[in-house]
Amino acid sequence: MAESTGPGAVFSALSDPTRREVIRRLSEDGPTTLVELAAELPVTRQAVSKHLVVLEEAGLVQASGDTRRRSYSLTPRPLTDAMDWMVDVGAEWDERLDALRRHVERDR
Amino acid sequence: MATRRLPTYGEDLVDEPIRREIVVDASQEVVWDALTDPDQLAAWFGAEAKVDLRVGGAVRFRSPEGTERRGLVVDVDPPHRLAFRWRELRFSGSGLVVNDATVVAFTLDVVGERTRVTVTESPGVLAADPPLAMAENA
Repeated sequence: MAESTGPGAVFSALSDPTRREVIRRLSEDGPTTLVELAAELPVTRQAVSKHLVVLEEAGLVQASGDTRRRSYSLTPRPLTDAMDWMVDVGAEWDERLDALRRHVERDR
Repeated sequence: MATRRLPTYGEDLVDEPIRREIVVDASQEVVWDALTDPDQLAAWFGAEAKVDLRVGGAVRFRSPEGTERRGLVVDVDPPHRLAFRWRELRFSGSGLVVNDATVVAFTLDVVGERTRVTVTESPGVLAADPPLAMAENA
């Protein structure tokens, strides 16, 4: 059975400015309820709720508490993993582009 | 729990998380051939490579260590631009590991007698991708 890994879900989740703002708020304020988040953002509570679902599915946010006073907090691990991916893949391209340069400039 | 301040994630970082740019002392045609000719790719990329230069054409890079990247050309405009979606396949203890697909784009711009090479790599769309899946079974 094939398993899928990689940073795609994280970058996809972060591609929306409102979701980035939610991440920012949670990183600054710690656990926050939907009502509190909606009060601070220029979108409806329903919209914030949908964004939280996407963030939860990407593993970026975790809900706790009962339904009436559920709070959301950041789970930073996937962000760290995505940053690691950028560093690793970026280093691969640095090496490849060095090799490309040596290759195309070999006769100079 | 201590509050953690995370870096700001802007549009550019999300849309193009990896972007590298170099200027090489070679013509655009020379660089284009290096990017598309299997023998030349083997020399500098370090993989047994095959690029079918048309949109939808198959792309395959097989490294000597056994990892393999497969994908499809999504944009080709010789000798200026080549983009493909690829994903890495490798065998681990538990079976086949398939990484998320990413889009790699090369852009070659003439700078006098030299060439600017820009490469970006960004995570692709997550939705199921039947053509790519077919390429992987090819």
